Amino acid sequence: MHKHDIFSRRQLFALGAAAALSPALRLYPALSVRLAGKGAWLSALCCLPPLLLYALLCSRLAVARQEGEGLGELALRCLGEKAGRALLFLLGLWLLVYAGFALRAAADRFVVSLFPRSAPGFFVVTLGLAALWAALGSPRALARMARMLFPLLTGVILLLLLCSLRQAEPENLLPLTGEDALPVLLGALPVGEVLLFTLFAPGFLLGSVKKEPGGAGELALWLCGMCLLLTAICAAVLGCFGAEITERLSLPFFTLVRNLVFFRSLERVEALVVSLWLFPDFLLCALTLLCAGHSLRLALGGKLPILSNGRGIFPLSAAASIALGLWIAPNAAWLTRWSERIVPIGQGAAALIVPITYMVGKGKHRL
Amino acid sequence: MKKILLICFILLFPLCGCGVSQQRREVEQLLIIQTVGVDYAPGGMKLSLAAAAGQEQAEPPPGLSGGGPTFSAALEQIRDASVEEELFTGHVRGLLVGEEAAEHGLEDLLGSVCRSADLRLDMPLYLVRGGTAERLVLDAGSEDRGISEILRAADTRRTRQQGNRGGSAGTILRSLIRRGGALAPALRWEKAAEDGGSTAVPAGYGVLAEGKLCAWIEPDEALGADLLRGATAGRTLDVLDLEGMPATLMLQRGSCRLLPVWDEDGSLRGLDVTAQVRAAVLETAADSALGTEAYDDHLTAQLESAVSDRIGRILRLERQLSLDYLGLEEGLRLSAPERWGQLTEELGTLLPGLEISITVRGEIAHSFDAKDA
Repeated sequence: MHKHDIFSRRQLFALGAAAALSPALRLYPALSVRLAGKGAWLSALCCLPPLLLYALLCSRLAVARQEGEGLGELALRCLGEKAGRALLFLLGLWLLVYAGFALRAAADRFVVSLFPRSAPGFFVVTLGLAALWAALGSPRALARMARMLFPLLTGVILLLLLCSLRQAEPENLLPLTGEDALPVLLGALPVGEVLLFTLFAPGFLLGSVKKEPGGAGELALWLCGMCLLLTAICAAVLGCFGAEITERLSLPFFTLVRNLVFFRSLERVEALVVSLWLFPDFLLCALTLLCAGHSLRLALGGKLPILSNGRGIFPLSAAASIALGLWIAPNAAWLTRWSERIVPIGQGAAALIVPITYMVGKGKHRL
Repeated sequence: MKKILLICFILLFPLCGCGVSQQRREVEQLLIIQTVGVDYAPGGMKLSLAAAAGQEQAEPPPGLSGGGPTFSAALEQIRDASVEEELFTGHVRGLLVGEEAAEHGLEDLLGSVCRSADLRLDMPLYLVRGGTAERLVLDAGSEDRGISEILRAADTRRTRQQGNRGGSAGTILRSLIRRGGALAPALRWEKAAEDGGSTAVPAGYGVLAEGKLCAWIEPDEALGADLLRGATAGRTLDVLDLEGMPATLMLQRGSCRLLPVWDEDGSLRGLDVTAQVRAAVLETAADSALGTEAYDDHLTAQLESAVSDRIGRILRLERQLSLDYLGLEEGLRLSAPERWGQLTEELGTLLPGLEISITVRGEIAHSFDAKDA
């Protein structure tokens, strides 16, 4: 690893968290409210204990890695050549599909909220090419960009939430009874899907992160922060619209932004906010493409050396993702089907790489 | 790496809409629509649009209306027929729905608002009592003000009296989904006394059941509905004083508490409604008995009687319609959640068989009338 490619753990966490903001605002309020009703604002908090356990496994793997090793290399070491490569190949293929979906979902947000007369193709291709350029470069640049953008994005969210307080009605959030407990837990599933990915995907870039002690506590803090942020977002959206309307909206957070009036003089700032969300989309697509390319490169063992040092896999991955992005969801109904049925299952299965690697590695004393 | 990031940003830049685009619109080219009127038309709806007055191109052409099978189709039809370069509907501040359109149902319209990329969910919605929205949108106002200004004034008054409670397209839609019914504020066309033009004046509330207008609440009775929803500030009430002369009271504060009355077998027997109101004497015609205990007691009794009467009329309407359009059940559930959970029917269905007792505690705080000093 070149010295200039090394970045800090904090930058890696920021990359995961910033990338999570893209699917979080697409999935979390609407789908969680559909599952949990009025109590959905508690779902992100309910998700925290299992996510902390998962984060603990991630940090133990991070501690057990050798210098220059990421999650992919660890999986190969723990599972052995054959099983490891098979797992990484499947994971790489899935991540290509997910990158295509992420491109299509980002394009859909632009079409729905800003450019209703446009087709998603242009956005899919442009964002896909931008993600490819980032994937071809050093992951350090991506991580540093995330570290700079994350405070800006959270600052914008918090400002918007603060301004939405005036419109919020407490009766849209309370009272909750014991009957709401099970739906609230169900509503945690979309949050889990979003945050699991942001826990394991940055693991593929661990090879570029310097080994330092004390990662578990820091990761737990980031995770708690993200859960609190998602809780606040959902509470604001629910408080303003109520569960009945929120579940009917395709992008409730951006509808909330459209309804805000700042200091009685400034309104309709959703175009700016949607445009700002281009960066989480970009980070998510680039991160997914990096992970997919890295997994496939490890799985294929350098059998695709089209460009120098095996980077030829990235243009191929990007081409596949863009093609998938253009093909998988010809209309909004298909996108919803992907978003609510196929992607959660795929992401849940992909997240298994961490516990499988850890358990097999421990069982075979390879960690 | 910097070059790569730079190229990424350049590629992403057009996505923000910041690049040179054919979709770019100059403000001068836009006719900014502030009010939309919706009326019934066989097989669809008719829309009328109004911009704000007092600007260049202020008065919309009288023919700025059109119809279509859906909201979007009607809007498109208006766009096609309009001579304006661009009709901008991103700043619509008021939605007026004609009586006939409301009788045919609002759910499709509210669904369109909910899905729209332009319209806001917190946009005030008014029913037009006894007429069409088109008449108000195109005719109301005078040279220097149009329906948009009139609506803004009406909305300011309504917000002052009711706070953030109800009246927007979003809250009405939510109430319809949650309770099957909703209250929508109403306006009616009236000749303006000020300048010989016409204006829109408050006309109480329209009661919506399953999305359709099914009853009106008179402006005089609206106080009862507001009290039951917990919002009354600034409303005035006309009563008769001890000498039979008219006196005007201004409600300063009011609250309503509802408690369920249970039978021994666990069924709901009735509702106990307790209202507390505090009012100030705004004006009175008599001066001989002002300030005396008997006079104040009489005004207090009048206040209590008037408030009780208005609450009673609203609850009677709820019973008649078997519909809890005010959302009383949500408050009642809190008082006994477990018992309420055992009930198999909703409050609206139970209402016709319930005994309802109303108690009002009134208080005359002070007088603004100089004769009382």
